[in-house]
Amino acid sequence: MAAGSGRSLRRVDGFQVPVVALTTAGQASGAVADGVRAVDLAVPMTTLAAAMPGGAVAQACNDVAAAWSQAITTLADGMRHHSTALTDSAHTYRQVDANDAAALTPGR
Amino acid sequence: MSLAQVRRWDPAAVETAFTQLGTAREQLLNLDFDLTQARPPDTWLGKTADIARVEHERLAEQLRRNVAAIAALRPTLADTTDAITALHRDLDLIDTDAAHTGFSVTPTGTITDTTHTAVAPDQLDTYRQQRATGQTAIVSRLESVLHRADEIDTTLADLLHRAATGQIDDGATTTTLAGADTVGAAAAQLHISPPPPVTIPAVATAWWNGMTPAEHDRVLAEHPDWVGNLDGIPATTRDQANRARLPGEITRLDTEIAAAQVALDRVQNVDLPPWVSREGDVPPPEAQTLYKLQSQRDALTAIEQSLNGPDRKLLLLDIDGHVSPRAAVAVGDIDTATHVAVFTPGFTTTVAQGLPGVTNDIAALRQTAQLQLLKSDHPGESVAAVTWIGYDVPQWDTLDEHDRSVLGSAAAQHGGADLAHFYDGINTSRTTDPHLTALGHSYGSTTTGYALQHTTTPIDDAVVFGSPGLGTSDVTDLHVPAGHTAALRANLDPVASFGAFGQKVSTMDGVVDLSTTDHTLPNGVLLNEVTGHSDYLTPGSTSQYNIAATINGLTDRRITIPREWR
Repeated sequence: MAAGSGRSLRRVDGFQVPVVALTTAGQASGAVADGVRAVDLAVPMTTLAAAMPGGAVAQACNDVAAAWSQAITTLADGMRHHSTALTDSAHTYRQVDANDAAALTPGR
Repeated sequence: MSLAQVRRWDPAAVETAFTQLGTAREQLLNLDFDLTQARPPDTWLGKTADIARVEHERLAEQLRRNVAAIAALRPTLADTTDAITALHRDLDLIDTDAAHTGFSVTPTGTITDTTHTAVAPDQLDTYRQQRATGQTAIVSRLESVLHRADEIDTTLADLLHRAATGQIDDGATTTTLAGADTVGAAAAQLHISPPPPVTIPAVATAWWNGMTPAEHDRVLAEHPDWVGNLDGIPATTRDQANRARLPGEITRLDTEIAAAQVALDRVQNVDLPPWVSREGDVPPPEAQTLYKLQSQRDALTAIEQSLNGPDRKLLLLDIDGHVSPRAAVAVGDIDTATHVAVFTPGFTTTVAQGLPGVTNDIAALRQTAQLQLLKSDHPGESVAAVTWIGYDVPQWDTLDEHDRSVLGSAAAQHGGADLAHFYDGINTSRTTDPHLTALGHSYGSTTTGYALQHTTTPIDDAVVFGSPGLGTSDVTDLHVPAGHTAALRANLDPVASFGAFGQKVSTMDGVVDLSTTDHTLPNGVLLNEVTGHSDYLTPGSTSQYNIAATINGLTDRRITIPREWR
């Protein structure tokens, strides 16, 4: 059941789906995922470790580089997964709405 | 952490890491718009929407924490770059100073005595002691550098650890990456620890030089009490710190005086039985407390008066740390002046009663010294002078107190140790070596004499006037070059003939006697005689002229007394 603007599904039994906005959110999440993945936090830590040899900083840099690399990967993967979920949801809502609309159309 | 490792630290590479981290920060901040757009729309309602929003917020929070961590690290890396540069500068200075004093420092910190001086057997012990003292000073400075390096290393490592484990706060209400960036940056500041336990001023100097200008500002703003009275800290900094403390000290004392007055009134207003008389009673403790506080307040007033003149600097402010208030006021720029003099007054001088007048005397002396320089084709040279009342000066009412009696040397010995630190602090805190002159009057000359036996840095000249003794009968005990210790003894000054603390100064071998009688200069100017014990600094006198001509290095202009006239 399309809204007046044709951009969202109206509330029915407790849910409402703005499909276009959902699609936009999914695409933005994807952009965030790509942006995060492009960030390299290991390089500055490697540089810093070499700049201050012999102390606690050098060891800490190795730990940070590993932790941040893992964090970036996890975050990018999470964002990508979230993006896919949002986009899929929008697609599914739209598809279901279209199917239901067709089924309910008289004469079919 | 070893010295060799600290020397290998590369501030330029730290700056590169700072730049690289800046690139990462920009990349992440550029995602702010997309992250906002990625938030599931508010108009999406339902269980799925709720789950999606929770997941988005979880991921966004992770991202904000990373941004906050980077934001915290960047300024710390910038500070670290400056701090390492300062450490290396200090190490270079230590190397240079060591070389000038006949030592070499290897990259790993091993100190070698490179002198091959022939020393007379009877001077051997003294020589060895001086060399050991010099070596200890270098070791202390190197230890201070290592202490600071360890602090930098530990603090940055701790911050890195917190960054790696997501412990850098991004703000409870922050929703954007830019907001997290701001909150994170605020968390970044290298920890500043107080000065290390100071054994010699060079350690304090090393501590100070190991900090960045931003850290200096923080110390002045947050901990002026750390540096105001610390020998080895630049005079300008000490002045800023002590002036910053003055209003608080005044307020504190005024409050305490008001409370003490109330307490005293309460005691005095107690109705006593008619047969009990107050007459002849010992003053109640409340009265003594009030008197002491008012004396301290008077000292603060005197300090303010002393600072009421051009080029004045407050280098010591210690109102209640000792039995009597202590202060030192400089006239001129101690940090940069070509010639610096430190004057120590004597018996009966107090901060409250004496400091303003003595400061004016010293200002006039400085002016005479500067005029002499101007007239002698030394226009580029400058003079600064300090009045130092940094010891428990004996008073009439302390005659029977062992540690404060003018009849004994205890006050001079204790004060001399502190005064030696003050001299050394001037030398170590400066980037250029000043021509430093020690001046002492009366009992202050005895304190000066003991100080000159304790200094670890060179004192170029010493002048004592109205001196009852230097705490020694051998001028070579003083760490002053041969022929650079001078004395003045005015007619009718009995104190200068006492010889109470060592041999009478004017009869000591190696002491230059300066005139105090009338004298006409080659240009026709008449200099006046001073007599008695208290007028050596009178402007226009031969005495003041001679003292001025010592502190500005024009010693060949002085009017001396031939030895046979003694």
